[in-house]
Amino acid sequence: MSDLAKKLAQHPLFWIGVTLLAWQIGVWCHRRSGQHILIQPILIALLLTAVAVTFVDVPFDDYYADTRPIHLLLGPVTVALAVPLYFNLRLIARLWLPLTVALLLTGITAVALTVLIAKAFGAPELILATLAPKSVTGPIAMLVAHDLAGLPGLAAVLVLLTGVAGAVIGPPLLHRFGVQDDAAVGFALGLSAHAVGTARAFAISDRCGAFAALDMGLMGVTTAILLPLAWPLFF
Amino acid sequence: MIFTLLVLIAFQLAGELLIQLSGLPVSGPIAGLLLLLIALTLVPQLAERLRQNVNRLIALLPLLLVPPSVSIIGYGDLLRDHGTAITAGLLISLIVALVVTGLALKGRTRA
Repeated sequence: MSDLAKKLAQHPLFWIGVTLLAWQIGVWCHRRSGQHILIQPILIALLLTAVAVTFVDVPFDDYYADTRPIHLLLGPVTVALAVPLYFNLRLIARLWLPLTVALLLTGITAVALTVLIAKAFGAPELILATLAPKSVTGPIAMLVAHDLAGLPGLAAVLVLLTGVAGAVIGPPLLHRFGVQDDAAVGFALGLSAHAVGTARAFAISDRCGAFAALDMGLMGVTTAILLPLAWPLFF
Repeated sequence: MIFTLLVLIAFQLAGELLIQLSGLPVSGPIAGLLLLLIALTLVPQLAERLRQNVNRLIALLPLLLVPPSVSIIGYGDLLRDHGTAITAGLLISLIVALVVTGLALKGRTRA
């Protein structure tokens, strides 16, 4: 690469610019595809940015330090999840019992099954700790993976892949088992496929979306509190 | 927007402080989330005031996740060695969790 290009890449704004550009291209592709579920802006942004970082050949730590103004906001935005959770909780206060049962059932099933299967395939504890929070929304999964001594960045990617897979297979799978009610479909999608699943649920109906969003929030908070407490009992 | 950011930062810092003092094994932002949720229940006007800007911020959440996700460029070997375990664990538990939740709630969500 020429000296000029190298100098440009060292400018403190360069990697922020690259990341925002990749995101903008991702948003554009998502819109152009008619908001196709597989064309997620973050997937495209991640791919393009990863290619750029590899091509310019900077260590990940340097890239991460330069984009700190972006990811420093993850904490405050995680706190912000309290607001939609508050509105959604108010919306369905009468259904708290079946929802709590479903939440605990699936929460425990999702985590235990993921860890047991991965362990049966010989995955080490580092991978198990990264996989365990895969059913909660990205920023919370990163915090939990960090608490369990896993890899937060990889956890965020696995969450994304789980979300896309869940949004694609969820609705047809639930219909096959005779689950037709929008609220039940929404709750299942939010619980198993978080943000992408919630977007898919809002495409089905507002009621479906509200239940998915509620569940995503509840699942995130419950996992973030219980998993770090339970983890040392097993590892 | 500044008011919204100020509230969020204040609650995150309050969460970090609470954890430092109590030694609970929860992350600072999660403690902040719970504290804010309690505050919103006590002061519903605050929820209305924050609603619009918070929705704008949450829409940007995937963008904020791009920088940490780029770390996968360093995990090539790890993914090659344990790709099967990861895929099997993710997919099987996803399918089971979807069906279990759906069946547990079937016919029980008439509001």
